[in-house]
Amino acid sequence: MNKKIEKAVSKAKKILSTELTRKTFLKTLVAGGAFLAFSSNTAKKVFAQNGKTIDPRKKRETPIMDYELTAVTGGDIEKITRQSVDLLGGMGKFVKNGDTVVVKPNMGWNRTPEYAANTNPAVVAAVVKMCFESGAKTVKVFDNTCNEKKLCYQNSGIMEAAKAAGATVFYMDDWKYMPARFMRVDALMQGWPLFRDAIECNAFINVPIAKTHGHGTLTLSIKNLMGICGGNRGQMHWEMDKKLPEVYDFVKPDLNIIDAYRILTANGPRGGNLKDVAMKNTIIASSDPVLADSYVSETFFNIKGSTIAHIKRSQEYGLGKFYSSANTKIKIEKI
Amino acid sequence: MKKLKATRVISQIFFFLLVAAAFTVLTFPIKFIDTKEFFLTSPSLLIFSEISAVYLTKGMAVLLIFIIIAFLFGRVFCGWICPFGAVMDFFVFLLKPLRKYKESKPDKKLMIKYYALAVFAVLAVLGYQFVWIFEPITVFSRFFHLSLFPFFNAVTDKFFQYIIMNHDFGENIYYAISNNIFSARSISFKYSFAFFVLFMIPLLAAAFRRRFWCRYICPLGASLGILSVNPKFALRKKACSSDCGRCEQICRSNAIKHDGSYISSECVMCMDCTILKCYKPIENKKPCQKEIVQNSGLCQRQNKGISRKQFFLWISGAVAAIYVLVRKAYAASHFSKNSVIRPPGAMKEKEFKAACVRCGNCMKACITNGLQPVMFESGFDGIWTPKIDNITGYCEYNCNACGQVCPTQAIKALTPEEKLKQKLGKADIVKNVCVPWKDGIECLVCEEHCPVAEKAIKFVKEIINGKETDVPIVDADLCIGCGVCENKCPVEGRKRGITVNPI
Repeated sequence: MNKKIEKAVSKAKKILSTELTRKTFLKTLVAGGAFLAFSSNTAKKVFAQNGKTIDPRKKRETPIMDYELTAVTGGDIEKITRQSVDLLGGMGKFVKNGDTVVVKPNMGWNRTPEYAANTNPAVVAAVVKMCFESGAKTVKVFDNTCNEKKLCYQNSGIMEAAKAAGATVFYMDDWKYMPARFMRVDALMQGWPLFRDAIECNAFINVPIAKTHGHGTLTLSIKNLMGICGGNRGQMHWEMDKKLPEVYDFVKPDLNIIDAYRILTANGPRGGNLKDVAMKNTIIASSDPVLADSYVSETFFNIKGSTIAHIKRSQEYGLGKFYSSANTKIKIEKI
Repeated sequence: MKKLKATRVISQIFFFLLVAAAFTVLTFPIKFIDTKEFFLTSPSLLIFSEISAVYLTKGMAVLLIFIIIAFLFGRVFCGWICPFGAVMDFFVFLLKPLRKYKESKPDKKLMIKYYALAVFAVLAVLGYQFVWIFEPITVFSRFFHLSLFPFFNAVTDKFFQYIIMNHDFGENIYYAISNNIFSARSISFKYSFAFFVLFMIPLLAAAFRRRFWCRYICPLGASLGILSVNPKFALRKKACSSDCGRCEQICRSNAIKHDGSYISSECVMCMDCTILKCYKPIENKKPCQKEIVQNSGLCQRQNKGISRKQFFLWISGAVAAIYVLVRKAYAASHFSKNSVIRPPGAMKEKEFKAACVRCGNCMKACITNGLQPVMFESGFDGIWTPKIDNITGYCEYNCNACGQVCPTQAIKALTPEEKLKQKLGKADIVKNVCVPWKDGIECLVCEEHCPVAEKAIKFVKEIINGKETDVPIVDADLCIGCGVCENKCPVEGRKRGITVNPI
């Protein structure tokens, strides 16, 4: 061993002591340059984003449900969440054996649950448990947060609650986004980076919280899907009402469960004042986003769904129908 | 006495790993090890920063332990604990096969570090703290936090990005690493390469002279050297009749003279010479033994009364103390405007620059990667102090990580309630960039991000391009200058539609 080292050292000394002639200088220059060019080229190739795009999510056929929309009121969050889904026909209609399920709550803000800026952690935990009971293999929980990821995941209480329920909770890293390829060529969101894991899943369950939003009036199930978009999200606010239906149609969530246990009535979406928070003790479930959103806006915020730009645009886009007490199969229950 | 030497090496490795581990896990949330304590080991750093900014911290109590150690055992810190010294020793060990030099005779250059320390002391009295340039612990932490860690972070991210996206493997390993060690995002800092170079220079110098840095430059070594002129326990030479000179050659800090006696303020207690059997390890030495007085000439205890030299030293010390107090009174009565946006709870501008030791703790701990080193924006004495760069990050509403990790309390550790009320700056709308003000497109991203409960950014109706549009305005009383509005503004580039200015 020692001899080998000595040999190497003597070799190194020999190399260092050779006289630097023009020939050797040019030789090393060419060799070094070639090596650098080659290695940087290979590195570029290896680490390139390899131009992959992502296609719209292939959704299963929407199952026939007992009701179009359910709204359950009560004190126990887990109970009302379970009941609202069970009245629709149970989680088994959306989640099959061995599925990879995405549960997408709203945890965009660095706020604790009582400020009603994020989805209630108990609701998320209940949904995760239901997914596992229906035979899901993995349940992923994530959101592209507005504030710092770590703080949002922690302070919202969702990371802890979802992990305790068995879900995989992780941050949405920048490099996992892929440019979306919309079927409509004139789509405004054409080429926008969307999160891979949100698209590549068997079932997608949207769990927003009902709250006001400065620009979009209300943020409900359609607006909640902004949390899977990457890129410069501020720019999505320019002509937001046209962009949101496109994203929703791209992801096609199987089920929307709106958390109206606590709602934020003013200074949304970030809130911060407990005076703006109202207790409604209700969970709304539906697979029709326009119906769910317009129902919530009319019953809890006294705003007609058709006056909110992005909900109106979604209805025109063909995502669903507005709520009207006459021709909606609806089930309201109190526990 | 190979055992003693081996113990020293183990101690060096242990402390290096401890410091490296603590530096590595220094991300939000602040974990069980708090790297603050490592900086309290340095007398020169703490005393000078506190003189130049005129304040007193609790850290002085911890410092006392290290001063006592230096009184008793000499520069044990340099040889046994200092992580930078350990790195240098390791580097020298690696280059051993290539090294071929002879130690020069005891040189007068050893005094350079004491002169440098005196210059730093005078500057500190004048209110400028520059020890941070050479202070080994800060050089080490700056390199570690602002240069090595971002590099490691970026490489790991790229590697796993490739593996996960192409082979669908390693996701769990990656999340285990990133959730525990990394901040939530891939952090990067300005001037990273400068910190790397500043770290490499002393390291490479060690290849030419072992412990080059510790011998000639290190202010920490100099301050410990003054304390350990005549330590209580010391190495002691047995009678030596031969003229072999091996001890002289073996000494890594050139402390052993030709006659075999040694300068205790240069000795880092590395225990290399104990292998030779003419040196006995640590022994309780009676003060001012004859031989030592003869050999080193450093023991002053026989002097009685005050000499002229001492008299002038006392006078100049008193003058300096009075000057420092006058300066403090002057600074308290004068308002100084911040030149850049400082972290929450930072001292006033002038004192902040003096108290900050540029260790990089706050910048690494900042969860949004918003704290960045400045170059000349805050004057020549403010180089590499932290500022909040609202383009790379912002100040998170209920986070105070920077204050919790600051070793000199240049950034105060605020309570959560105090933090929410901290005013860092004031936001102003740039009307020729802001999209609603310029083009009449509805945007209001800044309003939705404003963390103040009553919203410091409000929107009003205004006719823009003949169309009624909601445009943002700033309420100066409510605005805390956190900069989230500037950071999240959808306008791309460094010129945003809303910008925070220091107050």
